[in-house]
Amino acid sequence: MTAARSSPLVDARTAYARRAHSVFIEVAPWRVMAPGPDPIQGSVPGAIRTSVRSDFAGRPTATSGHLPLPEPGAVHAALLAHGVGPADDLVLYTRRIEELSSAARAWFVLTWAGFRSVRVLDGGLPAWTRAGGPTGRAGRTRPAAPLQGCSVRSPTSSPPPLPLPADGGRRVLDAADVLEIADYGTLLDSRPRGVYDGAPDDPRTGHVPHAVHAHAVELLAPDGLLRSPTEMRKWFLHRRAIGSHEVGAYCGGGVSSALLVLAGALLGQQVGLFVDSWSAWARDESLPVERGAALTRSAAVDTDCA
Amino acid sequence: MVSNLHGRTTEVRGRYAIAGPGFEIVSDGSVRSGGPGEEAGSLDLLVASLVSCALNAFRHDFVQGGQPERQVEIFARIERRIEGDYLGTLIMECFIDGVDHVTADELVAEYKKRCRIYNALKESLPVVFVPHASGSPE
Repeated sequence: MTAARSSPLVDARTAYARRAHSVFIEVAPWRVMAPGPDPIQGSVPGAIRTSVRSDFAGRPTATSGHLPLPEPGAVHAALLAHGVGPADDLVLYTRRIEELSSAARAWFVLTWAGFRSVRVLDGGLPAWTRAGGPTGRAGRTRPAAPLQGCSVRSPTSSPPPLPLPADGGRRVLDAADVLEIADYGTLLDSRPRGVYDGAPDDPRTGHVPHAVHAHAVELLAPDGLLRSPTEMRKWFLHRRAIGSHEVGAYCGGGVSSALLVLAGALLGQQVGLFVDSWSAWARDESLPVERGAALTRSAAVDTDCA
Repeated sequence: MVSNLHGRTTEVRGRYAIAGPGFEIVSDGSVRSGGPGEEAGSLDLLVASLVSCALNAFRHDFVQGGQPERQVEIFARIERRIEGDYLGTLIMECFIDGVDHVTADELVAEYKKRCRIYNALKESLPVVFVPHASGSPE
């Protein structure tokens, strides 16, 4: 079973019960997401420490967003250095509930790069400790894992990328895709309301025309767990993001919007990710921008009967 | 007579006022046909009639006397292949509080049996119901 077909989420109790069979990966956000000291000392024992910027993003270019996709080979090499291969059962978590989207970004990159069993720990480290999971030292490196379907064995060489999963839709979107989806499908903007609305005195603020505001943090319950499938389905339906039409998502740099992609996968709804996101869109003056809170309907939508 | 409406063009090109006894609905032609494309289009109104009827049925069908009526939400969408020369398929996702899956299915079956609008349209506009039960059995 591919990662795209198995659940991309695991609850803390299940993760704890299956801990002997899993590789835990702690994902640090690309910026501070919550003030104050770390509320929990230690990590899941033996977890591999990673970060969005160094492990799940590439080097920005003049035209890319600030957190572009890395080379798939680099993703494989980085994890292979920790003894992790594409066939391992990976559990991604963040230290704080506010950082869950960083684990979603790591999930997106790893599944895109061909890792087959990747799950996000619902509720992160707080949920792990609530479920009785121990904390301790991170950073253990396992013996090198054999790579199935890949001839590379050495962590010091650069492995070729595995074939990307063919899952029947566009997972990674470019600007042209985004314009098309905004016109004919549903494009979700996962940034905070004020950023979506834009500033009246700055013409390169606001959102992609016809994008629907869909603040990613609304998917989280107060306890830091993702909301129930029924609640999330309603949330997506309210934003016209369930159906056979194409759905895409963006944010500032393809992190918070990755949580929408993850939630969509839980609901069986393919959501493509515009990884470059607003950080690239705003710089390209040829691309249209819309400001204000009102949702506009694309002129391409046919609401007549004829 | 069971329905009696009056429709007229307005001063806004492609915008129409449809009035009945004590109410008025504003409807727009699409941008593609020269209308504003902001208010409900003709297809929206067709879907709305089925949604309204289903809300009405699910709210109180099989509710015993003295029991509270249900809270219901319906998300309806018409899906159509681009090349399709047909109206499409209407998908109605129905969230009905306080019923289990068996009751939800029974409510849908009753609606299909009773709704005259649904039965008049179903050959040209197939309707797929997706009931979501969100409560314990009644």
